[in-house]
This record gives sequence, structure tokens and C-alpha cells, in this order.
Amino acid sequence: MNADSVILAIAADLAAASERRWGSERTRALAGAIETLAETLALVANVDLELDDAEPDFIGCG
Amino acid sequence: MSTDAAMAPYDLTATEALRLVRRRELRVADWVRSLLDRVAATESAVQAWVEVNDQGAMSRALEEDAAFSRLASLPLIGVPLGLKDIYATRDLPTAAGFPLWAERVRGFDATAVERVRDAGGIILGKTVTTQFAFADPPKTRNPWNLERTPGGSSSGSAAAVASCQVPLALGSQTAGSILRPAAYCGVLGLKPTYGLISRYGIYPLAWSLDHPGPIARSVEDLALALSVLAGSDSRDATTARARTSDYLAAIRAPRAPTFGVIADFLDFATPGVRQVTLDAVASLSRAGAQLRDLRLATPLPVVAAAQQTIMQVEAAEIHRSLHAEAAEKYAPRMRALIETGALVPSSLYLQAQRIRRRFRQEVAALLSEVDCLITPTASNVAPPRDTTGDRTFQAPWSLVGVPAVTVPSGLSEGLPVGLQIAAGPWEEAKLLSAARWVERVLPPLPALPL
Repeated sequence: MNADSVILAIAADLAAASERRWGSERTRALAGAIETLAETLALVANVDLELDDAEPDFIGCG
Repeated sequence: MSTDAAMAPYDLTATEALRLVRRRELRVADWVRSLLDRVAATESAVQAWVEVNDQGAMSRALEEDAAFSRLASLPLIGVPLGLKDIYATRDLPTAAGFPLWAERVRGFDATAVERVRDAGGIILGKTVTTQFAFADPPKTRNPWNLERTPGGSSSGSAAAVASCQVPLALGSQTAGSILRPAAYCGVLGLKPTYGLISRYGIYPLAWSLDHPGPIARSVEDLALALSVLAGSDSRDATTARARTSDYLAAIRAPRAPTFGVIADFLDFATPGVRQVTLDAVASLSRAGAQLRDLRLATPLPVVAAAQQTIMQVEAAEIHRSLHAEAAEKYAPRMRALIETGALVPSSLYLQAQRIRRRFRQEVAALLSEVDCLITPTASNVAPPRDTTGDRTFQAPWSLVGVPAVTVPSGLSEGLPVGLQIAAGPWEEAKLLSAARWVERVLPPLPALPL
């Protein structure tokens, strides 16, 4: 998938989740924030990481 | 009479005034009175404070003057400070910018506040924060241009220090909330290593990213503040491995460092900020700094996206209960942060944490070649007041928890530009020494037009 397709797919998933959690009215109000978040998450999703060399780390400074 | 004694007390840095206080050439009460008068003269324009504790501060000042011989050895004797209004205080409300909490006195002091008071510091009041230390524009204005933002979220702390209402203030940073407002307001700020200063009693925005830290008008004052604030605290487990140094000793004889200049940041900076930064870097080189050009392997927007993802998920969870009770009371951007943060798939949150780990290794590798990294502090100068500015340049250091400082480097469009310096974990002594050297090399900003 190209970058735009990834953003659209993530935005669609977020909007569906928002409908379930917050309802239609809030989802409409959140449209801009959902679009921005989808762009952010697409940048994260597109990074190719090997599980071995990048395990999650939850605390700020090692 | 010394030069320091000839200046109005409000104009002095904390260290300058402290020298006079220790020589009994300045009474603590006169210092506090001078600052309260300065607040009275400038606050209607700047709007940096939620509450000025004038009676409490003056009462404490008189007590310290009366007991001076007993208290003289305290490191912050008589030093007035402002506290970002997310620091719990036993005697003043802590609202965090949330209207339902406007009168809420938490009844205890945050560890940082306790340390300030124990060191003889005087709480002048609570400074304006954006709501819950996020990004909704505050009432505070930039003292360099009242139509521009002071930055956020430590908006009042930076604006109060810049307008000489107080020499020192405490802020906090989750993305860029100390360094950016300090840079936009033409003062200095320090975001220390994650876990060096206790977060106990400071309302969280995102647990794994929140850093308390000082804002001041000199490196010496940052070192003074850090010497009191740093250290482990049994009430904040993330401070268990805190490694402290003698920060004031570290800045006494700074030497020219080796700096890595990260070109990626310059690519994203406005032309004015880029030029001021290149001019500053040229000055540092002429003064003897060794420079190396460096590039990031992880694109800057990806680093910022990882920080944003983690911040958003953690903020949504922190606010889950309060949001369920009072969603309508939130400011619009904070509410949207919570409501969209609750939708992030766990797989992407974990992916952001993996990017964080990889970027931390990348930063460690860059720092193995140089003493410190330098970049512009922000991509732009302070924008208009409908935003708190761009956090992209400060977020990387919050993401990986290494210390960073901003030092004023010049003006663009009549507004301050900051130079951001970062070092390895627990290397605040090296960082402050480098910042002190930079402070001596670069010319000071012109007088504030206020």
C-alpha cells in the first residue's frame, strides 16, 4: 500500500472505532483530529522493524 | 556599590541577587517587593500568572530576613520562584487549567516544591499552564510581541521569567513544553534526564514522557535549580537510578566542546531560524568549538510521530475517569487528544515504543562521537496566539529521555530564536558546562521591549 492508502485505511478504522465508542455526533466533531492522528499513525506503521532488534521499551531513559 | 546592587532587584538573575542577599546588601523582602511591583506593572499585558501569592511570599520573605543568620547556608535562601499550575502545593489551588479545579487545594507539596521550600526558596505563585499541559492556547502572551504565543505548555513560567516578574520558574515537558516556550520567550530552559527530578505531585500528561525542569535567565540559575531539584525520591520509582553531580562546580570553567550539528533539523527550520542558527554555529566554531555534521537515520517526522502516539495513548488512559465524568469541561484540543488517543490500536502503540528504542540507540551512537548535539530549539519563531507552536524539534529528546537545554541565539523577525543542546543520559553536568560556554560566546539578546 502507498502512504496515502495507509492513511485512508487507518482513518477508516479510527472513525469506525470512534462511532462505536463516542457515537456519530462526536465522531463528526473529531473528524479533523482523526485525520491528523491517522497521518501520525501511518508514519509509525510504515517503519520496517525486525522484532529482534527493536523490542518495545516503555520507560523514558535506559 | 556593585553593578548588581545598582540594578533593580527584579532585573537580576537568581544567582546575582543571591550574592547580594548573602552579603546582606539586599533584603529578601526588598527582592520580593521589587518582583511583586514588576508583576503589578506588567501582568495586565503578559498574563503569566494564575495566582500571585503576594501575602504568603512577603510573609515568608520577612521570616527569612529575621532568621537570616540561621538560614544563610540554604542554597535558595530568599529565591522567589513561579510554579507551573500542575505542581501540587499544600497552600494554593492547583487547577491544571481545568475549570472544575479552580479552587482545588491538593493539601500537599509535590516533591519538587518541598525541595524548593526546604532550600529556602519562596513560592511567588502559580503560573499559567495550558489545560493539563497539552496544547490549547492559554491566555498568556509573549512579552516580545503580545500578539504572539509564549509557547506551551509552560506558558506562564517562560513569560514570567522573560518579563522579569520572577527569576526562576518550574515547568514540565512531555513533548516540548519547557524548551519551546523558553526559546520563544528568549530565556533558558532545561529538560533533564527522565527520572532525574521527581514527578511526584505533578499532574501527569503521559507517564513515560513527563519531565519536570527549570526555566531561568542564565545557565548558572538552571544549575542552581537543578542542584536542589535533582535526586531520587521514594515516591517516584522512575528516580530510583537518578545520578546527580555538582552542577554548579561543572559550569565554573567551561571548555569549548565538540558539537554534532544535526542537519535534519535545519532542513525543517524556517529560513530565519536556519540563518540565526548557522550564524550562531559559526560563532561557536570561531570561538574554538569542534563541529561535526550529523544526520539522523530515523526521519524526524517519524520520531515526532512515535512521541505523539505514545503521549496520546497515555494521556487518554490518565484522563479516562475524569473524561467520563466531565467531558464537556475539557478544552477542545485536550478533549480531542483523549478521545482519539483512546482509539489507537495496541499494535501501533507498541510499534511506537519500538521506534523509541531504536531511536534511543541511534542517539547514543551519535553522542559517542561528540560531547553534545545541537539544533535549533524550534522550527520557527513564536507564531500567533491560536497555537502554542511546533513541538517537532523538542519531542525527540522527550521521547528518549536525554537531557536538553535551550540558550537564546539571536532574533528573527524581532522574535527570539533558541539553540538546543542535548547530551547523554545523566550528563547534565556536561550539558550545563557546554551551555555555559555557549552563553559566554553568543551575544545576549537586546533588552525586552516591555
